[in-house]
Amino acid sequence: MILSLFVLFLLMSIVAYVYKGSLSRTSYFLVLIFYAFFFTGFSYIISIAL
Amino acid sequence: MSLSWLNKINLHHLFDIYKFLTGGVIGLAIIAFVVLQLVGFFSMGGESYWILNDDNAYRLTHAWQVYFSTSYPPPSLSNIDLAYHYHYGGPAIATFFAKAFNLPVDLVYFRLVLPVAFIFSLGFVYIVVFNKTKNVFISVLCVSIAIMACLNTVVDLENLKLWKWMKSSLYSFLMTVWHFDIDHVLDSATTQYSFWYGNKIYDISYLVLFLSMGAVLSLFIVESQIKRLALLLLLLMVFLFMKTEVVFWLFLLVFVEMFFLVGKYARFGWIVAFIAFLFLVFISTEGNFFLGDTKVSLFYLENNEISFLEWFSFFLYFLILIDVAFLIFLSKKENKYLFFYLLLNFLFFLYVEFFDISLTIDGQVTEFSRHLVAVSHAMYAVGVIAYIFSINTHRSENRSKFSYILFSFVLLLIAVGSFFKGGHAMLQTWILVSSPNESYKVVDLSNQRECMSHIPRKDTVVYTNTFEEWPPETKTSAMHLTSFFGHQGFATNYTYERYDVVKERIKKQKETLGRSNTSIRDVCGLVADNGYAYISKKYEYALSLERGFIFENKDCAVFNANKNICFP
Repeated sequence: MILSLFVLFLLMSIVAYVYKGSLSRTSYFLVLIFYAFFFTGFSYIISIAL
Repeated sequence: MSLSWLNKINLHHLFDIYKFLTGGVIGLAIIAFVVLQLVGFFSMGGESYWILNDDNAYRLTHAWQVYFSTSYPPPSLSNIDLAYHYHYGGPAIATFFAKAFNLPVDLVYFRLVLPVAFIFSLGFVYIVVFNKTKNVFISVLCVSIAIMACLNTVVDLENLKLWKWMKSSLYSFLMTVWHFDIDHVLDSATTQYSFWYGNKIYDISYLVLFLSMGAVLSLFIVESQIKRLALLLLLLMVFLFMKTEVVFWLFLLVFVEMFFLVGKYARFGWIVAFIAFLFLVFISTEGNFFLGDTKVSLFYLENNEISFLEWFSFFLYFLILIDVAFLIFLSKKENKYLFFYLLLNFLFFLYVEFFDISLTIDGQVTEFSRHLVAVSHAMYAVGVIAYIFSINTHRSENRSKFSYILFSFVLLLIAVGSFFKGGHAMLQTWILVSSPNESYKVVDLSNQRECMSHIPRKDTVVYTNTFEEWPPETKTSAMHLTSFFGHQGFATNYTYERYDVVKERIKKQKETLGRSNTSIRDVCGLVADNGYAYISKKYEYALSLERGFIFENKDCAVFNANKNICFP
């Protein structure tokens, strides 16, 4: 669980960096939440795979 | 007709109104979520355990698999000692939240993850479209179209009364959004790229659907600052939700190839791609040999009847398709490539028509399904082509009215293409409308669930005599048994896990538990030390099992059938 949170944090950092400034603020946060939601599953899979 | 009103709706400069409307859309999404939950709750009878189709049970079992697993791919709960690659993205999200907040997996999956994914995806469409057009009207229109697409309705105006259509739409909508035909919600919402189903290419439209979703995501790539990184993220997203890892490898292949094609080492691009391509074809056909037994096959295939040539042509086509899309994307001579692209799509359309590559219903190919596949394929093709065309039109600064209209149209198509799971959804809806009794089966499985609740979950294996009780459309599965609490089944699913070993086990179970004159010796020969038997009363079952009786209701009975009970 902690590992998956860490992976999630990493992924979100990348997303936050990539989309910085290219969207309006509201959209930006929505995109972040959107990605966060779907990345939770991915990070969990990564964590059990490791 | 003057179209100047379109420009007047542009609210880009009126920032407050934009914020207000965006807030409104979010608010509506929240309201939609709550309303859907309430409507679904009351219409489905509150607490009883309803379940829709076999896919629901199957995917819920997956959620339990991920929940209990400490490895990937998670061991199958449907069939003991098997593990296979599949798209565990949705189940993994459910697991994450279930573990984080200590909630039941089924509750999280059905009542949180899927509806939120659905709502978010609509929001996603809104964001993407708005940021491209800065036009609220078009953005909301795209969301509306996406919602309509999720209704999964096909209207045959010739034969259909309006009320019937309304009824089926509502029903389908409820099924989709509240009751969560998981495939429909997550697949529609995030797009699952399943290329293989049975031993045939199942739904060709996925190829192009894949592209259209890629086109939507490429909006982000276009707008993002670091394009290659964004592409990598896209890969990750795709990996999460695709049905098999095939797509992941294909996309990786294209990624590698494009990296070489446009980068410093451009001259090696095609060689690298070709080697990777051969590797993929080889591992697809010889994967099981390569990796050992069926426990960990590289690609989830229901059997191994797909020939080298079929794989070869499949990969080749895919590669060309993606490449051309990329080339158009990168090139300024779009018209030339567009023609090529169109031609390829048309050729593939013909290929589908003439070589019988289509989905099957109970093993039978129907003309209708074949055409559905082809039509949906064409639809997405048009969407993607037009999109790519529009990107290039849009890129140049002279936005004529025509290009503006075209662009709006394309966005609509993409919204539909992204959400509409093409042939499968259309087919299912068509069956729903044309012969309601043959399609979606919503069944109250409260009694079955009650029976299963009396079997301890930890370190037990469930044997059963039922392979026809539910879902009614298959005779080779009892996948609901493992979905309620995450029990380990001995062999409860051949429909989706078509391994020979499963077939043999099911045959054995039928022979032993599925008749009334089974001797105790037979049962003990079948059941392992920690075995429990779930017996459906719909069918004949062995009375001798009553020795280990635990619980029964009107639908089923549960027995402790381990060896100590057999030989007291």
